Amino acid sequence: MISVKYFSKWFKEAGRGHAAAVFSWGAFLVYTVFTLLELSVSAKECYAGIGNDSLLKLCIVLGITVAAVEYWYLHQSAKLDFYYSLPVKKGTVFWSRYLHGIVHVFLPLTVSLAVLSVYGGAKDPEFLLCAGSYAVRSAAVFFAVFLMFYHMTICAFLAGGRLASVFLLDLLAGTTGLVVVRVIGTVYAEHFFAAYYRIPAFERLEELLAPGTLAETLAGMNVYERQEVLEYVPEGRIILAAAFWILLSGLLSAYLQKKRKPENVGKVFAFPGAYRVVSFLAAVMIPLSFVSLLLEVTEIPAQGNAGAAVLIAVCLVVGILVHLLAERLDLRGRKRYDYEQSIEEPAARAPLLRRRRGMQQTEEAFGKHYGLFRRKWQMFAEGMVVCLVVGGFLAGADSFDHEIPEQEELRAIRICVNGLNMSYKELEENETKGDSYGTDRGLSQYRFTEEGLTEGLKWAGMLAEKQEEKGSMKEAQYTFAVVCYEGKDGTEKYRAYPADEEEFQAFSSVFDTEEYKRMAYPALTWTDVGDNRFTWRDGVCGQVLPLSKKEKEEVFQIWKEEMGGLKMDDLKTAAPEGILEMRSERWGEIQRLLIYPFFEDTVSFLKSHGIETGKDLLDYPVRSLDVRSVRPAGKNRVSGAVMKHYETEGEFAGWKDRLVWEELDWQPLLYPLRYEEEIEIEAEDPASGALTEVRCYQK
Amino acid sequence: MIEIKDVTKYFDSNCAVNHVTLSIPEGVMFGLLGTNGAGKSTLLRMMAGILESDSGKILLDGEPVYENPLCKEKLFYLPDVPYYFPNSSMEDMIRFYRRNYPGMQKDGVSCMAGQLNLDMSMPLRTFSKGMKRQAFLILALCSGTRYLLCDEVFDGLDPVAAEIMKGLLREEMKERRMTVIAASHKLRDLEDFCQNIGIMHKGGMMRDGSLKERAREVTKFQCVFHVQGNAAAKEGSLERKQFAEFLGDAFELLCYVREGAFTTLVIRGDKEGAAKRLKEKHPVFLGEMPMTLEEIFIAEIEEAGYDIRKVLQQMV
Repeated sequence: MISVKYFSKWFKEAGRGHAAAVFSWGAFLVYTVFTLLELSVSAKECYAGIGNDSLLKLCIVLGITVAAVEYWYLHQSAKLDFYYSLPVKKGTVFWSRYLHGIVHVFLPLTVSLAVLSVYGGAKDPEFLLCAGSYAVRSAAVFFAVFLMFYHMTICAFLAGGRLASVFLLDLLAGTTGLVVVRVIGTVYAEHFFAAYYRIPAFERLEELLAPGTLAETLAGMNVYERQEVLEYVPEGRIILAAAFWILLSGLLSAYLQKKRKPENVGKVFAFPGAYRVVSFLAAVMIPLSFVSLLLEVTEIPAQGNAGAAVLIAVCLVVGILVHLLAERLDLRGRKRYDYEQSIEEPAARAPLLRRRRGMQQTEEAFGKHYGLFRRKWQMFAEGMVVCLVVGGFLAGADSFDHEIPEQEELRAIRICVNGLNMSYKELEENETKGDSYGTDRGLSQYRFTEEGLTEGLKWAGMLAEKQEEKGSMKEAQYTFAVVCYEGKDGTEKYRAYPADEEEFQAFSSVFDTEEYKRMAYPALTWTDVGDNRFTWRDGVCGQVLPLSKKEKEEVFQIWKEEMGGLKMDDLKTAAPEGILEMRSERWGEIQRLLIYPFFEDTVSFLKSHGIETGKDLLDYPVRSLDVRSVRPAGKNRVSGAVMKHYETEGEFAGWKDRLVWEELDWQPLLYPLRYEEEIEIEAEDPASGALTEVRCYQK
Repeated sequence: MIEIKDVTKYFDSNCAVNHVTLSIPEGVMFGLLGTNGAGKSTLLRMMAGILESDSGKILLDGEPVYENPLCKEKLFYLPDVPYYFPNSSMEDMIRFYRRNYPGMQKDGVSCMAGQLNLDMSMPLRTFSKGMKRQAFLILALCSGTRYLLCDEVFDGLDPVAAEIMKGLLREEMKERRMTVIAASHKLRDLEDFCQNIGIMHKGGMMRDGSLKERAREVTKFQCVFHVQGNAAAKEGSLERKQFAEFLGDAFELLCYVREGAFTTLVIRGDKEGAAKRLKEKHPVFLGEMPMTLEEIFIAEIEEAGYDIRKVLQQMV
């Protein structure tokens, strides 16, 4: 046997340039040094492995660059001839380089993680307990991230014939999933489905289809608690998705390297199939994305047959144009070459073409073989896909908007009514579509499994039924509600429904349940509050109540009874007078007990203990009062802000009993205030003598 | 022995090598002649196992070459622009080739490099085109392989260096019964050097075989005949036809050129018999002329119906 045939010899040969090794070891050295410095400054806030964004980016970049360095030879015709003329199989050259790339990333990665884990353990004893397992898990996770991008780039280098097409293929593999989910799926759902809020399936699909998103999830970038990060193990489906990407691209690489012909170097794509895939994706995704753009920037109504027909027509036209453009680009070079050949020696070329294409006339052969419409079936398939996507959204809109699961199918229902138990600012900020912090907070807070489930389902059903009459969410003048149906099988279906005032009032059936109160006012679930600290706050005053344990339990019990009897209608009558802040001495947790003027027993108790409830803000010594009102632009009027400043008692008199502390604005729909004016007073707390700036609204 | 059996290679719709069948015996110097784009480099790359043929077989000592390292150990491929690792010297390349070709003789390389004043420790990138060509020819000769495939082998060499290299090649062939297949678009590079030559044009192999055998069969005569009437003004094709008929089936008229009073004829067949037959026409002058390789091939190929002058204009 000849030594050169041995894989090890070629592995050594693969490292001739040392570029991949130098790059990889150098990058990990820099990473290790910087992370060591970071760990030395704040060991508790720095992650050496899982949870480290820099390491994630480094592994992605290494996956791409190491593959590029190792497989650059596939695009160097002279080098390719040189290697393939030697007594070695093409596969040996390919796989030795593959292994060379892997070894020179895996080794520095593990060395770096080992060093950082040891150092991190020395700096943080808590971390020391899990340092070993954390390092092993991190090595596995980041190596998987590297492999995903390494394989993907190798595939691109094999399928592409030029560096531009390699870049295009790599970009397509990395972004197709994102475009499908974010640009097409989500935007279409927003516009076609009137009740759309968010579709969790899309989010999961993105994790599976977009390697970048998958890598982030795999590396624990969505985990924020330190302990959770240190103990993080990716979900099974994420591990499976990563394994699928690695295997699929790995197997594809193995197949392509066997089939790749050296003579195809210099062509745009080394495989005709690669061109077909790219042109198909372009002819499907570009028109669908274009329609997304149209939906976002124009007023074309997607929720109607006429609008949908326009969109489908636009999609088809753009799709055909993209298809023809792709055909033109592909054929331009070849057509010119073959045509010139035929002109130069038609007698020699024509019989060849006739043999190969079964054509009788050279001109006819050129016409059919090189015509822009030569791939009619592909064009038809692209059109079908486009129509199916748009048509699918259109057809599914009705069932999406009006689907109400049966109570038996549900484990829980989560409801967030915009404008209920939230400030005016939150009401304004919340949106009917996903990614709204206030709505998400509400959805996680109001989760009903008992009587609230029954009442909530009835209320949501009523909204869904009436939605058809109202049309899209844009017409929701009053407010909206977001509902999440949690199925017993673990599925989550989110819907957003518009609600008018009457429907909003009908929510009282849910509000008045004990379950809702527990969720809206978590203090109701507290017991043994004798050791807690009670503080009265009304905007200016921050007075600690000098109560005994018994008195604390007593006032808390009184408040619970009155809060338990609170009806939604009661909230229309008044804003809270102040907040009784309850701070747990044991946990440091704070609960704010809203004190309404109609909580007579609570108010009476507080008054009997020296708290002046119901005190107007202007009853305190006030230094100044500023009113800023924003004036929108109108006819013959420019927009602008008007600022008024008051300093005297006489000026303050006009504002008496009209100001409500911003923190007490908790029902902007049931007890609305005048939000167009921003008012700020500077008042003195008589107890401490401190000057306080209080932002408030006018009743 | 290299056997090429009905080999075809397409680059997309362009047929680079079209049903070529060829047999190259061991120990000969075979020249592949053709214009640019004739397909000789493609054929050579297929013989080296770089490219896979679309149809047909290429056998080296009875075994297929493609993806067959054992078989490829027997051959060394030298492309028109040799590849070398960046910053590598001849010594580096020897080390690399020794791992691939165990028969590589370092001493042989040193000796030949010394003859040609090549510094083996200098980076190859500092060498001129001709020096690089010499360096790689030396490496190829010392690789210890039985077959050497060279593309544009003497391209870039000055006449002195070319002669030295030819001498070295002949010596190696003599010593080791080495088979050399050299592709070139210059007829003169191969004329005095190759026993066998194959001419390629537009992917096809027009003719191949031993030059000496061909030369023995074909004779060139130059004659001057009496001109009768307007005979000189007659169409050449008619005269050619008349001559062919006159010569009869025993002789084949490969070429007929008339320039003024001189008529040049290339005839395949018995030399003496042809001269005797021509004398029957009572020529004023009849002489046998020496034939160059170029003329033999012009005659052969024109007879096959190709406009070979156009081809050879580019080759010479």
